[in-house]
Amino acid sequence: MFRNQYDSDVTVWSPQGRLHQVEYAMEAVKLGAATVGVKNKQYAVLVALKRASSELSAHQKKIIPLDNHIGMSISGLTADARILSRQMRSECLSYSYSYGTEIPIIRLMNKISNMMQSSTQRYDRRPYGVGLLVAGFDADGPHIFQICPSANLYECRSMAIGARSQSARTYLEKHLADIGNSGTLTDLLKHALRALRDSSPNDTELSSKNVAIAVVGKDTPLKELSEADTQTYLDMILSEERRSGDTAGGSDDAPPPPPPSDPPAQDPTPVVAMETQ
Amino acid sequence: MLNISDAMTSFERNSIRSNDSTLEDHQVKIIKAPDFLTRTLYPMTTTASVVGIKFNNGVAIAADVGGYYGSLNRFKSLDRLYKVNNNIVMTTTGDYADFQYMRELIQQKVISEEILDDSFSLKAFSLHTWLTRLMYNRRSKFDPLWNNVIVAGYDNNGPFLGIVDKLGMSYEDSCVATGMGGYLATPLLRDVFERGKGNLTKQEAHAALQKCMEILYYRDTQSLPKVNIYDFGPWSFTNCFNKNKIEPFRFLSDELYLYYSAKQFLLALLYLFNFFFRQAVD
Amino acid sequence: MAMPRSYGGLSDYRTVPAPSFSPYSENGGSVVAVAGDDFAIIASDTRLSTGFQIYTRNQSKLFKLSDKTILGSTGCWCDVLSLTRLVQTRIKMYQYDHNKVMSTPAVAQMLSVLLYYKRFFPYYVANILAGIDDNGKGVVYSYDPIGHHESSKFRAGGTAGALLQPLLDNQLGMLNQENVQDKTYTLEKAHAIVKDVFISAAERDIFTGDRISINIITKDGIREDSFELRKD
Repeated sequence: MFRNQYDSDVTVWSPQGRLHQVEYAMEAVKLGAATVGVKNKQYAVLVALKRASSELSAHQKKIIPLDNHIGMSISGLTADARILSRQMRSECLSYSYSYGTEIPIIRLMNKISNMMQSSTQRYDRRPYGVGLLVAGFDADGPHIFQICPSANLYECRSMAIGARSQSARTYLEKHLADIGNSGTLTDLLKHALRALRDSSPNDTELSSKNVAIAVVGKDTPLKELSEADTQTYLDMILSEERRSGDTAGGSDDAPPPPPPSDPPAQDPTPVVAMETQ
Repeated sequence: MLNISDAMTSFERNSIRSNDSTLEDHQVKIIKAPDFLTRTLYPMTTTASVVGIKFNNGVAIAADVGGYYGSLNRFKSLDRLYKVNNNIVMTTTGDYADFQYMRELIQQKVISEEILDDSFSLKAFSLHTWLTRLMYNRRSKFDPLWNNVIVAGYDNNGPFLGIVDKLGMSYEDSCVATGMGGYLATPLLRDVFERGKGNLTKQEAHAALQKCMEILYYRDTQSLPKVNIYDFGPWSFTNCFNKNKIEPFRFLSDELYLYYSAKQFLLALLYLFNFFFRQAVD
Repeated sequence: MAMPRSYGGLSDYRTVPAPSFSPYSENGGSVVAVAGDDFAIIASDTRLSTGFQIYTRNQSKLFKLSDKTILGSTGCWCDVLSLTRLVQTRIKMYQYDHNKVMSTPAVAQMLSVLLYYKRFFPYYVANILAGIDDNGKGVVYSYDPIGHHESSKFRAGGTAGALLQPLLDNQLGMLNQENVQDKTYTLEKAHAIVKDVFISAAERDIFTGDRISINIITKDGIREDSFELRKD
């Protein structure tokens, strides 16, 4: 589609210092349904919008438990996420087998993002086409991490990825202080669900069928809420009016800027997949 | 550690596998399990008992400084209390070389962990679990590390005191002792601990350890009256080198120590004299 | 095929020093488990010892595997630690792979497989598994070190196993008693008998004593209890 002479291989640089294949992989994340992760001082929470690929099929699984204290939600190629989650679970198990304690979240993140990086540097591999939001609780408190197909790793106060997720991020930015200081789990969940609703397609209402919620926190092992519990929390926000000014999607929904035909060196500023500094 | 490929070459050089003319072409010579891979069958340089006890807000362990070849007191100042990080100290009873090997392993772990720079540091409980796995794996290869390991530490979960033996058998307790101490010191420590209703002061704990080491010196031929004590508690988090280490102490006054040393020296002279005298007579 | 030939040298006749290293140790301890219609009780003593040395007086030999299943394991303590850790890991893997908690009969079968996998370098361990099955009924499985297992209503194992089993047969199975009509027992009765048999075991077996740790499994979860034994 955007073919140019520098995107045939993941190991080929463009003269602008970009890896087009890696940037294309970043686009795969935006094809998946939106998912939101938030935390306060006690809990980290994931909420995700589940799609059903047809009337006949069940809703896809968006939240994957990794250990008693870690879970992740995914956006992008589900199949790639399966491989990653298998790897992460086995890391968790092997750590607790050796040390008798649960793995610190940051250790797991470093392990897995290093693994993902290797496939962005080899001609015989491709980047993982999935974005991860990881929520966990360890001795340092609750954490939200984001991992991109480019193998970049970010620790976040809150984050949203997936289709139309710019709207959710706008909500999260606006309520950043509120979310971090929210005293109860209910308040935190309400924020997460409102953010998710902002990212849901206009013709889709959130329901207990298409929303998944997972909670982890102090003295609270990771738990995915049942449909009934999900409905309880949904009822709290569905009574509120849907926020106006909801721009359909965000800037990230547009297809990526076509890679410039190199040269000229003068391009519009692209979505940069890698931190190059 | 023995390098297997090196050993293999020397093994092949000297071995029966070289052209054996007594064998037909289709015949195979069955060779016994190769002799080049030798396991530890007994410890060489050994170290004696370690004793440890928990107190109201910390934990303390003590070990003497002797190293032995059989019954020969070969080394007289081995400091074998290894401070792993600000929260943990570990030491062993048994083979000193294996202790040094484990110390290297642990040191490397701690360095690798510091490099991660993620504010997490090894906890005594985790090290104890890991050492249990290490010892069990080695025993399962029939190549044990010939030690009893004691791990003591203090962190957010309070004091920790645990033991691992050379099989990978491990447990935690408020009072532990290895070697002869298992028979002589644990009853004393448990008595002190129970009398103190599990809430000893630091001074009481130290006194109990000193008493145990003294009794061990009187009864265990392979022990010295020179002891190191380490303790850990909330105060140990400050980054001060060897803050937890109490200076070596002796049970005996210098005069008495000199007396015992002199006595041993005279006995040795007597022995040598006897030896040469008999040779002369023969 | 050529026969291995005898070497006939002096080294063949030299006495080989007895291997001083044994990978096994006997660390003692006893476990008793009783299954009822809607409950299971499992208890172990808390003494960890070797020979005449008591390592610790406070080491329960019960391992919680799930809200419905508990494993009691005694023998060579290093094997106990390794085996139970492996079982716990495998149960977690099952949970994530199948998205449900492993049932007691499934754990029972898996334990047998794990034990037999080490058939020629066995875990030197006496296992008793207690729990409630998918129908809420109490079950007890007992094992030999290499994976043979059977299901029963009550079982004693460990160093005092041979002392305790006849007592259980008599008191719970009503064996060798005449004119017994009612062979059922309540949770309360089973609980009391478990305490009684351990008191007896502590009188005769030096490897059993200090305290017993009791776990009672019902559909509502696991209740823990503790009971002091003689400490000499």
